[in-house]
Amino acid sequence: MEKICRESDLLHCQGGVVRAPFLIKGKIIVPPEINMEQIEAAFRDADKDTVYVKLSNAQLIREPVIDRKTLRYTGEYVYQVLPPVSGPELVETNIDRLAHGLYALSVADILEYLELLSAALLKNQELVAQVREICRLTAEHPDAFLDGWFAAFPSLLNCEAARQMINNELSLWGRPGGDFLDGWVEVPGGVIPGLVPSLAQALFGQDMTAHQPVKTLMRAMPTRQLHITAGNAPVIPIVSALRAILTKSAAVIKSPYGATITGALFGLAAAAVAPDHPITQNLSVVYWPGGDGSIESLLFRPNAFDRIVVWGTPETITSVQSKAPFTKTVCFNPRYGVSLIGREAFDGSLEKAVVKAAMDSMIDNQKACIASLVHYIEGTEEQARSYAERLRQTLRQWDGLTPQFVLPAVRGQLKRMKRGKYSRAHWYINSQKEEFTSGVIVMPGEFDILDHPMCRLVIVRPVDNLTDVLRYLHQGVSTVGIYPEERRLALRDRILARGVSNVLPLGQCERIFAGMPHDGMMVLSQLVDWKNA
Amino acid sequence: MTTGQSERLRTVHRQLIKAAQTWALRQGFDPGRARELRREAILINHAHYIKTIPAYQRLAQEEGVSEVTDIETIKKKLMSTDDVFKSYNQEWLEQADFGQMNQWLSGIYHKRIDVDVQGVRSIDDWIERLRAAGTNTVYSSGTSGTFSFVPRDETDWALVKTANTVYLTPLLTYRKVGTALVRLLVKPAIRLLSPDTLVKAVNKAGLPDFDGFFLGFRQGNMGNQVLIRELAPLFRRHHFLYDIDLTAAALRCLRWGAQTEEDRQLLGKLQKETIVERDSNYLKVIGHIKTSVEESQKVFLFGAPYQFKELGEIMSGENQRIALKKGSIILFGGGWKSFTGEKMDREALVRILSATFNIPPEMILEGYSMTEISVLMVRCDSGRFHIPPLIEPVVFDEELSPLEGKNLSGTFGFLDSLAVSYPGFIISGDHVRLMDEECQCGLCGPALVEIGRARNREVKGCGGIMTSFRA
Repeated sequence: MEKICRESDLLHCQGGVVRAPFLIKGKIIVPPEINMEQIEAAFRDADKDTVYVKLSNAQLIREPVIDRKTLRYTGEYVYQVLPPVSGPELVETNIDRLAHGLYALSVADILEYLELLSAALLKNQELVAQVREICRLTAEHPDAFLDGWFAAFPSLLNCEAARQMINNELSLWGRPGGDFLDGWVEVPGGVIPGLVPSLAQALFGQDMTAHQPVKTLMRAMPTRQLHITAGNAPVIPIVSALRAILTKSAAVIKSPYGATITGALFGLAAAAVAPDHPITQNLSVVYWPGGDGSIESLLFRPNAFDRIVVWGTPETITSVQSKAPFTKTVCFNPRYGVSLIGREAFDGSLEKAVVKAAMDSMIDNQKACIASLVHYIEGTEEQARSYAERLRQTLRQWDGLTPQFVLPAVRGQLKRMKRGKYSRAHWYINSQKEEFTSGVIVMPGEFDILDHPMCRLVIVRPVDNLTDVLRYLHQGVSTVGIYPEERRLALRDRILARGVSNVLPLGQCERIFAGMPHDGMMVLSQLVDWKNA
Repeated sequence: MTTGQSERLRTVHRQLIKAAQTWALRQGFDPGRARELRREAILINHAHYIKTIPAYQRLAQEEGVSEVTDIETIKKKLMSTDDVFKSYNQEWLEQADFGQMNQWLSGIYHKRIDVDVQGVRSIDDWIERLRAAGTNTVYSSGTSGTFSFVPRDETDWALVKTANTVYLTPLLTYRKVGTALVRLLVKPAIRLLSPDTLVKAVNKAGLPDFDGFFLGFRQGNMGNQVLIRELAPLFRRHHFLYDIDLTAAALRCLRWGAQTEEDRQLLGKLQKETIVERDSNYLKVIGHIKTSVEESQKVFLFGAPYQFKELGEIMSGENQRIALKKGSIILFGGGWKSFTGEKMDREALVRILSATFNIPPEMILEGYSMTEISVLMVRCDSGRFHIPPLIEPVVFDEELSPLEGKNLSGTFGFLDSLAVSYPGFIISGDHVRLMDEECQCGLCGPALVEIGRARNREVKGCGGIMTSFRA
């Protein structure tokens, strides 16, 4: 990996410019040489919010640099030079080649491949660290989160966890999922021949219509997948790629703006350690700006892909769904989490409840779809305020451990909330040099979740009874953390029946296990095509 | 406010309104003096708000600002957003709990509101009770469907009417209304009369050679409706597009759905008038306009851009054009999007109206205002919305920090020197470009060159919110 980077001057920041490659069907495509003068000229007439410029021979992205000490924009940018990309080079039409090659791999082959990737990342620690430091220049996430994600990269590719994902998410008929992915599995299905055979037998007689019974066989067939990811957590392209690899997919991973560099790192690892492997040969990790019709019009055509996986903003999802109506789309809608704290917490375990609830709010620095935005407190308003004050103190400790960058627009949004619609609420704010770092609002009434800035701000709502919260739960809520355990078990099914996906003990809402459902789906099962022969 | 402060404020307001008048006349305006007066009024208002308006008190306390402060501190720390006028609980309206609404409104008003709400079943009833008790409350409904309520006492109300009459009269007279001779005579008259006398004179004289046509409702308490209510009596005759009252209850049903049989009836009536009978209502207005033209009356036509678009389309569909008498005026305002969110092109609309009504483009005026501000800003022939010296504009960056300079882009805010009974230091939801320089039209001072809505921030991350949910 390091050799490729050295030879082609990739993935290091020189004078504010980073050249990042794409992986396109197994080949590393390097960007052209473009100097800073040309880059600045390209952005010269653009307004300050412009982050992307398309050239005839390259794509340019710019991200504002954040001073990690002051946690403010410096006014400078890091520019990424990326190769161009076109729709035709991403679409795979040679299905026979896939059927005999990639689709014929075994689960053992997949796991071996992951081992290679994981080993490559572990072996190239210097490069990984270099990439991490490039990301840090512009990362909106706190350093502790960034460091944690990068440290976790190899473990994301853990073989045992991957095996469990396959075996659990594709499991049917009491058989492990790997069996179905490896080939045909005979299942003891009680066959019902259908109406027509009975009619035909009556019409044409037994001799003419009798048949040899054949086995009932099922298989999890790989598919050609397009993953359109969003969010700027560096792990996202890797998680998407993992799912594609585990299902032996001929996949295109579109990295999100903000994680193009880690996508490039992953693509580089694949090409470096196993350039001839069928998985690498059928994997593309690229970037284009969402909505670019010159690329997407081809990718969204019927039969270009068998699956489109999309996560991100409501606009992205509805845009993709409207443009690709004939392709099965797996959507990860934007969702959020909440916490329910029973009155039992005020009988001596308030501090613990506060710490645990804060943990659930801190997931991905409150930007994950499972992060808790609202804490419902069963108690009086006075109790809610007491809770809020303790929560504020707890969040201040988090501020000390993981100082966060708050977007200027979010600072403005907070002021707007405090001086406007939520001026009657009680605000408990942590600040440094008069700038918001984290906080809590105790709301006297309902809160419009669309107003939530998701920046380490917790809304606290006092309720008379936890069952009062049920009317606020729906499919838009992914996760509910509850304390104490007895209340969680009592409310669990009522909550889940309302569309919530996870009901977990307070403080444990970030927990995952291999093979768990995501947004109500066994995702790998959605990505394969279940066949019957 | 002490008696002394109150009297001083009244004096300052009178002088400021007079200054606005000279500004509009483009003769003898002293911007430095106007600025001093305006800022003095703002500081008196600030001291008054701190003593009497709970929401402002709270904000000042949290920000550590006392009664004695300066303009820059107010701009930086004490400006509320326009959302403060919708900071009530929705449930109170749903449950018709107007006792709670009284309490909430008291929080953004300089007196306790204690009107009897016995028997009050609707927002409109409540507003009528408030008006009877001396509190004029105007509401507006944004894209979210949540109403803003802005209360003004009768003194403020009268002040707003006076101020707008006093500076709009010369502003519109300037090359617009009346003959050259009239304009020649009116200018010195305006200069010589005191504001109160001028208002009386204008009200008495009215605009007898104009018939007024309002593409709105006959009655209502929404911002535009209130303006219509004030303007309509000035004309010889006036007509409305919708000959029904626009009620808050009906508007609420549009957004939240009808909950009761009464709601359904209200909604049905509104929909009948605005959808089913829309075209025939426009045709009636067109008929009345023709009558006015036949009677040699000038026409004043007022509405929102999308309504003028609809009017133009209907007339074009009927293959109709009407040559309005010279001196007729079209005035529109209220945003450039239709109910469907379709964006319209201003120049295209002006062209259509100019052709349809044979009216020169410079007689097609555009106004910019909002429920929370005391003034109407009219677009000049050079395309700028000039801000009268009664208002201290502020432009904010995305962090909501005030910007400084003569050419600024950002969120529009203002310190309203005339707002005494409610907190008039407001940050709007509009994104503007503000320039402060001489204009070709002859007016000086700050003017808005571009107006749009502030952009919503895109949320990154898989976490997020699809739409508005109550939590």
